[in-house]
Amino acid sequence: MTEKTTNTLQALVVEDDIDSLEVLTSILDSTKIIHSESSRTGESAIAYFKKNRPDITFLDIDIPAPNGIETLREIRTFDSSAKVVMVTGCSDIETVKEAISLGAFGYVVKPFVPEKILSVIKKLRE
Amino acid sequence: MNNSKQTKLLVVDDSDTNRLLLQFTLDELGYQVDEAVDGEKAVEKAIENDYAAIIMDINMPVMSGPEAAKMLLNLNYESPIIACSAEDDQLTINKYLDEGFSGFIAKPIEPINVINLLKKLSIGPSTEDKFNSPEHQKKLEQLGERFRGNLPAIISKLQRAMELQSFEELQKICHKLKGSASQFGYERVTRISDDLERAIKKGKTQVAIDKTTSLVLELKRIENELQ
Repeated sequence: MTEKTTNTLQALVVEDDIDSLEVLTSILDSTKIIHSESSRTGESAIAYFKKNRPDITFLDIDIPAPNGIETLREIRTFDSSAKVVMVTGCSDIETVKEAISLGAFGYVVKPFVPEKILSVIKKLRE
Repeated sequence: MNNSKQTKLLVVDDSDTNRLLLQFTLDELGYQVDEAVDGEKAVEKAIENDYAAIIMDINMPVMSGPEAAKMLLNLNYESPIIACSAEDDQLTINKYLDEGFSGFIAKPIEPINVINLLKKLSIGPSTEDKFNSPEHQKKLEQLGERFRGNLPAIISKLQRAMELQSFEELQKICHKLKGSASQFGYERVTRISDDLERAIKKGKTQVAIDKTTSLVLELKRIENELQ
């Protein structure tokens, strides 16, 4: 895990599947500019977010209750400038519309393409 | 290692003829082309794939080109989205550019215009993978090993859940497989797991049993390949 310094970006990865969680954190940590923490449920993610306000959150849609969309709603209600990237196994247009209406910052589909993850980070720094 | 690969483009148009024409031109130029027939399908495909650019018709049923572009731009979509329309007066073109389109191609499509615009946007027919992290590759290999090592246990769990007709347990297993298998190149496992999860959610018992059988067979096939 990348060491936490003042110049690193703080990321939260919310994912109940350990393999996907480790692949994503490995991509983030390999950049050397991101310090990532993880949550396995929506509830712990919301609590972590409220306490630590990470720069970016990668949030799986299919997590146990509250699901990703509900967690996004809760996070964005708490902080309307929160940057939350939705993560999913398949893109369903109705969920995409809902995520946009709640102010999602981005949308990535598994399997993770490192370039796509990094382009989201690049956008964050612009 | 040579990471050069074909550049993938998405062509969105509700007219079969227009899509075919564009596909033919882009194919000849060496690009790999994917298609969508309306804005909604385009958004789904754009999210799921890695396109270097999208060439988007304006007037389409279900969802128009500008609506689809707006959705993607809201999600900070990176690749250029090119508008394609028969309305080619400067005022209309400027409107598209203001809406976030990166360029414009007039209909009927002239191949030279497509070539020039892609050149201007620096989108060549082949690309190189930029991401190269040995640490990440190593981690990916380790996780893949662990995934393969767990296959016998996963197969047993699936068989046990099937014997007990426990669809709740089956859903848990296939949900996890759906998320992880494709990370290690097992796209078919992800696809069957996705079908299985949908069948369980919809209460389609017989489909769920058939899909579980297919999933077990596919996992055993991978296991045999490893031996």
